[in-house]
Amino acid sequence: MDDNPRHKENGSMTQQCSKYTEEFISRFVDNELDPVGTMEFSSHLGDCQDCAEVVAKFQKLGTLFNTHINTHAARQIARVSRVDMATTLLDYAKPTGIFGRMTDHLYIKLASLTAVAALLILAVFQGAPPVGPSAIVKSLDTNASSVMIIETIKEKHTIIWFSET
Amino acid sequence: MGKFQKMMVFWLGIICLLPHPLLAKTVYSTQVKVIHATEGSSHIDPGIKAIVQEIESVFKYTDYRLIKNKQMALKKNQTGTINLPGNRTLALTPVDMADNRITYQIRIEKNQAPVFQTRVLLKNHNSITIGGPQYNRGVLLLNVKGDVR
Repeated sequence: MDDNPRHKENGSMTQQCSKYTEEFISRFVDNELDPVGTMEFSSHLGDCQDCAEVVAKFQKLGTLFNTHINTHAARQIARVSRVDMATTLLDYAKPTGIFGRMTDHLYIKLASLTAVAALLILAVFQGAPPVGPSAIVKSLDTNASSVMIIETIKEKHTIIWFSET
Repeated sequence: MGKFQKMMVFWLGIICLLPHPLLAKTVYSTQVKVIHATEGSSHIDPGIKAIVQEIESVFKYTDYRLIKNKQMALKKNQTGTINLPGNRTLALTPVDMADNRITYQIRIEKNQAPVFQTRVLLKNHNSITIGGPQYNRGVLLLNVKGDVR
């Protein structure tokens, strides 16, 4: 009795030989078997017409699959190339030179220029926001009844307020 | 001495003769605006509009009049004085300049007696306002601005 796990009964309708499974044959076709298995199955193929037919079927399927994949990939490449070509043609159709470059994305450029101009105007007329109070009070000496140190919100202007006695 | 060395000595001499900003004495341009603030009519003198716009939210006063505007070019540790209404005197002394802040010693005297004294680190090109001395149904606001170039 054959105890080899890869030699099992196969319920496939297209395979009459029960010595090798379709999975095993598929691995043979894909060159995934170990050298011993490959040698054994190769010698079996010379005697078994059924397994030879399964191998032929798998090889054909593999060829078809590869052809399909290659064709699909080729179509994708062709499609990308066509898009590139169309883009290139459109680029060529655009006005060239300084005027052409200026009119390209004109609205975006105008918006950018306007934003930059607005920022410049704000910087010039409003100035940078003040950092820290205008004055730091280090010491105070007075006979006033009360003293307050105030800092305005906007310009952080320091005010010292004292009440004369 | 070679030609190159002579040229080097010549140019070094020229550079040494040029006025160097680090060697120049620091001048503390100090401006004092004495403002009389009262309640009553709504008036702001044109020369103090910017200051008043900044400080008016703090005060109850509506009438701001510039009664004195003095510009002084002080050296370090040199005291500048201003006579204020009500027999008062304001004395200002710039004592140091560090981290873009001028250290001022400020003193107010009344009848030749000190009533208020403070030491402040004033940001360069900025001002501080000292208020409180009573005068003519209002108060005096002393706006001190310091500038070092």
